[in-house]
Amino acid sequence: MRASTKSAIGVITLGVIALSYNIGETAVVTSNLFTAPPIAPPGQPSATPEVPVQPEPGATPSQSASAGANPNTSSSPVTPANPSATASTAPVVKPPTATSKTFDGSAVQSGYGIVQVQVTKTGSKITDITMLQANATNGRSGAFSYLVQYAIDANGANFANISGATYTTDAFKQSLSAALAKF
Amino acid sequence: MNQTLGESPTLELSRPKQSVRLGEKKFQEIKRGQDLIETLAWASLVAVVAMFLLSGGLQNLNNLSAILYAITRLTALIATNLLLIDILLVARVSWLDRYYGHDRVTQAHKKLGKPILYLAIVHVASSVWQFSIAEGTNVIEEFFAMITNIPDLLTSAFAFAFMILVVVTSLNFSRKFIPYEAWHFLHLFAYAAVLLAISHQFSLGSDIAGKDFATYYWIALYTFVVANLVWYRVAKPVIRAFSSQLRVSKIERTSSDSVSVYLTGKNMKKFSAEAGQFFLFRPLTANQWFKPHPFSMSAASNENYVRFTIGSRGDDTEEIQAIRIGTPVLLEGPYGIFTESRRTRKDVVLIASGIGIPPVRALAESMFAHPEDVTIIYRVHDENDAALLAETRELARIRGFKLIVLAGKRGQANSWMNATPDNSTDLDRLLEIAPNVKESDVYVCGPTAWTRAVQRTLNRAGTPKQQVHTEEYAW
Repeated sequence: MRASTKSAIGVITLGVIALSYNIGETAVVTSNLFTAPPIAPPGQPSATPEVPVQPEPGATPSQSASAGANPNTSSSPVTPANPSATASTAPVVKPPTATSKTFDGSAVQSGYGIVQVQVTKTGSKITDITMLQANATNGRSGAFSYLVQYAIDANGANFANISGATYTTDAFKQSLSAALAKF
Repeated sequence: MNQTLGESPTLELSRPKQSVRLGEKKFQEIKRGQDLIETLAWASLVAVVAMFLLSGGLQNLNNLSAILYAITRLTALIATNLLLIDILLVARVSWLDRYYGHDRVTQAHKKLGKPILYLAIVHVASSVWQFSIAEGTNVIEEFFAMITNIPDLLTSAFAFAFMILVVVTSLNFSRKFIPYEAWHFLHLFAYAAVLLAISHQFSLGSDIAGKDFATYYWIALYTFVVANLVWYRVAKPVIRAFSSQLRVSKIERTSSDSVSVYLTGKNMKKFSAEAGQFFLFRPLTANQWFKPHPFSMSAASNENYVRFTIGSRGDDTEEIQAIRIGTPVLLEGPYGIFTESRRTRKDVVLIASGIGIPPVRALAESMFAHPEDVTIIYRVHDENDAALLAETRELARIRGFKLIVLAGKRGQANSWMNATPDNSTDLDRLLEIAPNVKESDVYVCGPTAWTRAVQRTLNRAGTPKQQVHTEEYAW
């Protein structure tokens, strides 16, 4: 390469690298698993928000009260919280949108371990996702907190894969879809 | 077009070129083309690094694990990009050959091998180390856990092993002990390595999986390289072989250790090449079809035949000399820039030693020149037993070129000329033979050490490097 071309290319290269670095420094990295969430210290299996497994029978649709924020809900229309107060008046029927259901997804084996979710929907909206089984080795367990958030935001399994954790994402989506299919 | 000249019924010469473009501008055009190619190659590397940085590859490098992760990604990206360039360099792509010549392209291919392996080693080591930190295991245990548990990593481990095999067997040191055929067979594992490593790149690669632009970039790069490889190395020669069906039609002994082999077939125009270029010659026989040999044409392109003059250099060339009439031959090429297309000056000095004569003989036949423009220097051991000497004499006589035959034992150590009683230096003698050598294009073909000696003398004579043309068989 001629010296003049070399210098020109060198300057342009430095510019491109510097610019990319600057943009990259401020870019929101949602997918960088190994740097964004804290890495699990050695010995501790995972640093995920791993919720204790619910004493729920496996794959059967559970119509019982879910463990979530709404312990009073059931499949029947909600009755007023304190029936005594307005016992004499006409019964107030609340709209059925407040109904909340919970189903378990299938247990899916990914390359890194078994993944199983439990989904709570209030009306047509996913309100809570609990990890029944959240096994992902090689630092990928950090993915679950993101996956739960993505699924709630997307209200389903239609969200982008987390790169670097493609298999874990796939397993999560499979389990999620299986749970959603039961609603 | 062929014409039989009245005064020499034995030597048929094709018509020389009717024009040639001279001048520095040609040289500038070549430089510009080279700069463009090198810039594109460099840009591809900058692009992958930029994509890595843009996606925040260097964010939060606050612990060892994060640093190792960044190293894993970056080395993988650069190594893969370089590997694809390296494959392109050996795809015998005609547009690379035109600007650099086959030997320089092959040398570049060879030089890139080791850095790619080093990057791959760092990539594997840092990923295993980082995973072992995350898992709290030791690296050996983690390595086996990774290749057994993580999909696509077992194949990638084989790819890595193949890469080591390919580079180690290609070291100059190893090549001394490994026959060409064995080396070539092992070298094919490089393709297997690339194929086996692709899956983990697209499924696990943090900078590719799930990133549209990066995915398109890599697919485009792979497609480009594979298309060039398949077309230039496989499809083109095979298609031409079927359409022309070249066969050995005549064999002529030209000296005690060299023979001329004539190939004829249909559509001979498809093999038209510039004088000075070479083809890879594959006799299609059971034990030779997989052994290509680079041979320069020893006569300018014509419509009737392609001719090679093959010396006996101790390797398979003896076997090829024994080729029978009627043997089908597959030719790949033409390659090389030991041609008049590189000529920038009116005066030309052609220098050959021994079996380096074929391309020089072809160049002399086809060059556009006035009689006083061309000087041929032919270094031989025995004037009575030198390949193509009689023919070259006849050619020089017909065209009016000056031919100097330097016969006999070598002069002083490091001399590329024959011994003389007066012990004059190579430089003095060269200036006597070709006084204008400084202002000439000089074409040199012979053994490597001899060629270096000629180049040193030319350097002292003041001939600029870009006017000195050599072709080495980088084999």
